[in-house]
Amino acid sequence: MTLEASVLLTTRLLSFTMLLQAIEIFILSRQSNFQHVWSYKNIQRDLERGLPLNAKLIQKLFSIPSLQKIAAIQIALSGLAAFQPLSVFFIGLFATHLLICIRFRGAFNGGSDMMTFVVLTGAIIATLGFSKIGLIYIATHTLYSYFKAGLAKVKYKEWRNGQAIPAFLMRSIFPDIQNAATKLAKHKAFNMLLGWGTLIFELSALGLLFTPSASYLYFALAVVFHLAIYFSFGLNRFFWIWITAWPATLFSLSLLNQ
Amino acid sequence: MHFRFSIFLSLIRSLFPRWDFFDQIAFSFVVYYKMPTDSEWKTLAFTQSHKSSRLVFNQAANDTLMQSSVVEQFARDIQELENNTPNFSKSDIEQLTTYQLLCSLLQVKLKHKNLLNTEFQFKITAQNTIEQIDIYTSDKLPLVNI
Repeated sequence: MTLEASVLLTTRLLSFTMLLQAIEIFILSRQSNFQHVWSYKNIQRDLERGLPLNAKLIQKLFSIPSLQKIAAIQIALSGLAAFQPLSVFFIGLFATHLLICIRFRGAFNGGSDMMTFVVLTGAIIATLGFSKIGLIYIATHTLYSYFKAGLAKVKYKEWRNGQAIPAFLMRSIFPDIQNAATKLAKHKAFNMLLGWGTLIFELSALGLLFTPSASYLYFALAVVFHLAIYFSFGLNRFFWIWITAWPATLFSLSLLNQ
Repeated sequence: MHFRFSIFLSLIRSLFPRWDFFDQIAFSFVVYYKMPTDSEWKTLAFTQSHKSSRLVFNQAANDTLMQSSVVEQFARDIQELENNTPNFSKSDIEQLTTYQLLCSLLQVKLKHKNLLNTEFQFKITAQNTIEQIDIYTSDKLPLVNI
């Protein structure tokens, strides 16, 4: 993959992912139940104690109407960035994403919010004229995210003996996945295979530094892996933001082949 | 209110990536509720139909994930209070942001069940394959109109 193609794909995919995230927030923030739970009153104490800002300004920034405005601004910026990938649009998207994360006490969707910041930072660096550095920044985090996730798991015997996968699937928000997990728990050998498959897949991300020619094969496996996570847990944002990080990763790994 | 740096760091924690997902099988937290007319606790599920899940716009599933996360964060706050403030009072709990969020969330979910009662009570338990521990039981709370 060429440098230009990688920058273009990364910025387009990032614009799409952030558009999708903003539309989801916009739709939710218009629902009365969501407004009742996530009212400014409910989160006021944390924001006033956690932000070194004037109370009136905090309320102005984080009320429900402001959340809708921030989401609308993110929709507009994502649209603009898709057609004209300028650093100013990505800096704006960084700001809207940060405000949304703070609005939800640090994160709306955990790890996907973190990876969104990583790709945004890389996109800002790349569009400021340091394309290679920006892409390598994204690739480093992406490869490390798989490896670190595997390293964190392999310490626990439940991952090594196959108990982990059905145990986590039982916590899915989807009742049919919970039922399938109960049935799956009886097949110990299969669970061990799935558990070790996950560990080997995640840990071998670091191996791509020594065998970059396998990067497209790993990418194909990563797509299947993220689709399986989406199907099991509903984590669509994880799917999109990790896919967004892959053009930069493929480009950076291709540098090792030269 | 006094500025607290630890809360500030928590609010901007997404800027500092941590990639240890789905590692330890910790306790899972279950919410039970009881109406004045009930003698037994009933489980309140945080589930979503798989049919409504979408790869592109999945706001309903993300909302449900966020709701489950509120329950976990409240349970963690209770454990933190137990560790850091041995003689904590009821008002310490009621002041927690996660308590406010959880009460509002339960009001929404119970109203969805079209219950005619005006009060409810809830409890949170921590469960694993071996044991079940009650970590918090609320007083009777009003079931307000939303």
